Amino acid sequence: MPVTSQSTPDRDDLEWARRAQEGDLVAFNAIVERYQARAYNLALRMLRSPAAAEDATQEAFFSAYRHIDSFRGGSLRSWILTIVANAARDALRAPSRRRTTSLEAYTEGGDPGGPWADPGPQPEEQALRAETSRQVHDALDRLPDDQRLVVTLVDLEGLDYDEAAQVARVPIGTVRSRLFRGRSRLRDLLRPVLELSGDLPRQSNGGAQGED
Amino acid sequence: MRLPRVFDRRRRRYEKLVTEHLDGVLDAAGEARLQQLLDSDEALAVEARELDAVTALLRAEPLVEPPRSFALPYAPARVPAPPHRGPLRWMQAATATAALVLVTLIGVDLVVTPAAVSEAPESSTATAEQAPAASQAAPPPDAPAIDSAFADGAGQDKVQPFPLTRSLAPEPEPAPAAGRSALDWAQLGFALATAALALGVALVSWRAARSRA
Repeated sequence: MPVTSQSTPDRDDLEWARRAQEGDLVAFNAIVERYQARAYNLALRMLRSPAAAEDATQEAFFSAYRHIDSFRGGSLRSWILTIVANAARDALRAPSRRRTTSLEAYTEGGDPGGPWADPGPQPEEQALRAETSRQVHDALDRLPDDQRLVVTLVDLEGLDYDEAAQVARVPIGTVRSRLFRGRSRLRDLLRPVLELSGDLPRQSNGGAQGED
Repeated sequence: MRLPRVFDRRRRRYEKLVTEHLDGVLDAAGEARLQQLLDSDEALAVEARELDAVTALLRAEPLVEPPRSFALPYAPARVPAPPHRGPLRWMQAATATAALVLVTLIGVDLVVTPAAVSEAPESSTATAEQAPAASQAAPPPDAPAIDSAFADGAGQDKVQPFPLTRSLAPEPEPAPAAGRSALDWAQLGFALATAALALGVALVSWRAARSRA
C-alpha cells in the first residue's frame, strides 16, 4: 500500500477548521472525532504509555483549539499531528508529570495483548493476530525514537514524506533514511513473525544483516 | 572486501530507491534503476522482498482504539494568531540587504580612502621637492633673501629648511571632496536604513512572541 497523499487539503477539514476559527466548538469536536485515533496512536507510539498518551492527546487537542487561528490551510491532519508530536515531546521532557502505566503492564498483568489486542472473545485466528500485533508493537518500541517516529507516521498513520517531515521537523531526505533504517531493524526484530507467517523463508542461522 | 555503507554509493542509491518504491512514490525511471540493481545483486533482491514484507505487516496493523473521546467539553480561551510572517520576512531580507550594502560601502571607503591619503603626501612631497626648482625657475620676490641667509651659513639653527620650503611651495590642492562626501552620505543613509529596519524587525518579532505567549 503506497503512502497516502494529502497534498490537496480535505474540504471538510477546511470547512470545519474555518468554523472552529469562528468559535464553533461543535465543528472543532468534529475534527477531534476524525483525528483522535491517529493522534492517540502517534502519542502512544512516542510515549509508549497509554496513560501518558491519553494525557498528551487531550492536551494536544486543547492546544489545537487554543491555536486554531494559527492554522492557515494545508493539511489539517499533519497540523494536528504536529501538535500531538509536540505535546508528546513535552511529556517526554517532563517525565515526572507522566503517569507510569507502561506497555509492559499489559503483558505482565492480566491483559496479554495490551492495547493492541482485540477485545471480546478470541477465536484462534484472532488470538494469533493479537499476538502478531503485540510483537509488531514490541518491535516498534525497540526502535530508536527518531526511527520509530517516522515509521509510525508513514507506515501506521499513512502520512506522505512531506507531512512526516513537517511533523518530525526533519528534512525529507532524513525521513527517507530513517524509514529505511527503521524498517531494516524491524525486519531483523520481526524475522520470527515473518517466517511464521510465510512472508520470509526460514533461515537456519537467523543471520540477518545487522543495521547500523 | 565490501565498503562500509556510508561510502557505498551504490548501496545508498539502493536504499533511496527501495524506500521510495515501498512507499509508492518512485517514478518509472527509478523503478527501472531499482530493478536493474536487484537483478544484479541477489542479496539486495532478498532484502527488498523482506522489507516489503515488513512494510506490509506494519500497514496491516489497525489503529489502536482510543480509550475515550477527546472531544472538548468546553471552549478554552483562544490564543490570537501570530502576525503573518510575510512582512517580517520581507523586513528581514531588506535589513540584510541594507546591511550588506553598508558593509560594501565601508569596504569601498577603506580601499579608496587610503589610496587618496597615500596620494596626498606624495603630491605634497613632490610639490615640496619641486618647490626649490620652481623657486629657481621663477623665484618669488622674497626668495633671494632667504637663499642668501643659507648661503652664508648664518641662522641655520634658527631657520628650518622644511617649513621654509613648505611655506614657499604652493598649497597642495585639497583632495577632491565630492567623491568622499557622496560615499559618506551613502554610508550614513544605509546605516540609518539598516538601524531602522533592524528596529522594525525587532518590534515585529517582539509582538509575535508576545502574542504567542
